[in-house]
Amino acid sequence: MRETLNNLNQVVGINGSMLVTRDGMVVASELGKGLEEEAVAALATSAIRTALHALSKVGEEGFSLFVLTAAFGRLVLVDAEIAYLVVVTERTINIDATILEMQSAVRQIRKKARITLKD
Amino acid sequence: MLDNAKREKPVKTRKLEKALLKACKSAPGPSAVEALAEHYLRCYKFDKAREAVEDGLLRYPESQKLRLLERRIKRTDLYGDFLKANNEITANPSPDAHANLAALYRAVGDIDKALDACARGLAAYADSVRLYLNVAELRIRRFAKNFMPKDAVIALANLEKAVSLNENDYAVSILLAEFYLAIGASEAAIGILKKILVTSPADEHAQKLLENALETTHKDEPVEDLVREVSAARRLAVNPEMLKYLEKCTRENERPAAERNVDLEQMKGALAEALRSTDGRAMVILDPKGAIAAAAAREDAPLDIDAFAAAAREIRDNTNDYALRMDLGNFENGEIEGPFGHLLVYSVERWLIAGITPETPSNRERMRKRMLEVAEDCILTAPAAEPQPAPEQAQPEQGA
Repeated sequence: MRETLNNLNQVVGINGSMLVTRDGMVVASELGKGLEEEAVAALATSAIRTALHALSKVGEEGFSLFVLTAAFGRLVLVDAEIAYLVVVTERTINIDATILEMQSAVRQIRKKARITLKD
Repeated sequence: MLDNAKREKPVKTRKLEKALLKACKSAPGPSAVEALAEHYLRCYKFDKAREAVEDGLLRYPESQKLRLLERRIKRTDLYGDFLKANNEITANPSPDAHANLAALYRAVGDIDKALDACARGLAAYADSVRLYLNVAELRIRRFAKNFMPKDAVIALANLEKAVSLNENDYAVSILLAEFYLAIGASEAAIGILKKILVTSPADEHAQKLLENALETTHKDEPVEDLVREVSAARRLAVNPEMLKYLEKCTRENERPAAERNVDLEQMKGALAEALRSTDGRAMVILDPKGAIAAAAAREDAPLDIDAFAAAAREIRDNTNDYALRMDLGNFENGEIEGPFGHLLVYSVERWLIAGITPETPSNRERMRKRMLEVAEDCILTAPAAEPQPAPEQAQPEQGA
């Protein structure tokens, strides 16, 4: 998992990534300088819960992608089945292109998770 | 053939210019001015582009799109200066050369690049007081706007470093004292102010600050905790009016938060039109108090508008607090994708605009574009409301 996160972090504009469960448990994390695991996990968990709660209000459930843009950076959450892939990026990158990289990382994580569960 | 093609291009350009000029008159708005200015820029007509943007900003002073264009044009105007500053760094490297480049980036409003220029300067000249002061000023300016703890902590570290390099530099020492006071670290401010008053005993500003610091309750908490308190309250620990630099910063930042006289009927019409053109399920605009200002929903796919508004509010409020703690800055927008389609929430000044698309066709891009257009035309360009008169204050005792 860490290798996948490390590879993802090589993409321009990505400052760090982690895998976090819906209840805030960190499965793996590879964060760059200046990013605290606790703070990122707290924001990610809050964002996951908020998104699920907000969607339930309009009669929907579950999301595959949540892009949160703030003044100086972005937080992207991608559903990876076993957990959510959380990616912190620069504010100025082309997010659509970067999301493709994240989705590719999610496919690898899902594959690895299935192999681990079979074992 | 080639000649015909060559001749055709200017004709098309002229026709487009004519159409855009006509659009500015028939459907005036920042989007129309932006389209015209963009066209001028594409045709390398910089003077006309500048004129259009300046004229647009007179009519729509709060338009973000026009501000961005103004910044782009400014950068083009300063191209020669940027080139000169970069050449200076290569030919005659010095702390001032790096500081000059940073000042240019600051002038065009690119704080990140200005900080980068300072960082490069400090990598080569680790004892430059001017560069440390520049970094601190840039960070303080941003802190006064966004209250991100990281900016305050870095600003303090840079000011402390600058003071340690030259204790007699008045500008640095006074700014450090002001900033200590701003976050409530009065004990630390007193120490600095006393030193300033030894060398400049008649300095009235320092005397005033010292009096204020002595009156303030002293706090022993670490500076990081004090910064976090100020960030959470989004208010400085003392009245910014007594702090020269911070007063300037906070005044500059006050402008975008102006109350606006929004035309609700126009807003409702624009929102309904936006929903129709994007085939969306529903769209809603919430005012700064969180109440629904306008809403539109498709009749064939009913959605509880109150619940949708509550969902949009929840997304902004819950994530904003954590984003600030993580030093990502204030919430700007959130986009959620799921089997239902897309849910978009955008924060514009203190208003919220949200939209939800159907599963197919999702039309996310189009909805995003239309939402921002509605925000621009109905919120950002609405005239600012007259400030409310302050309640009468009791006069202090004047004596007999």
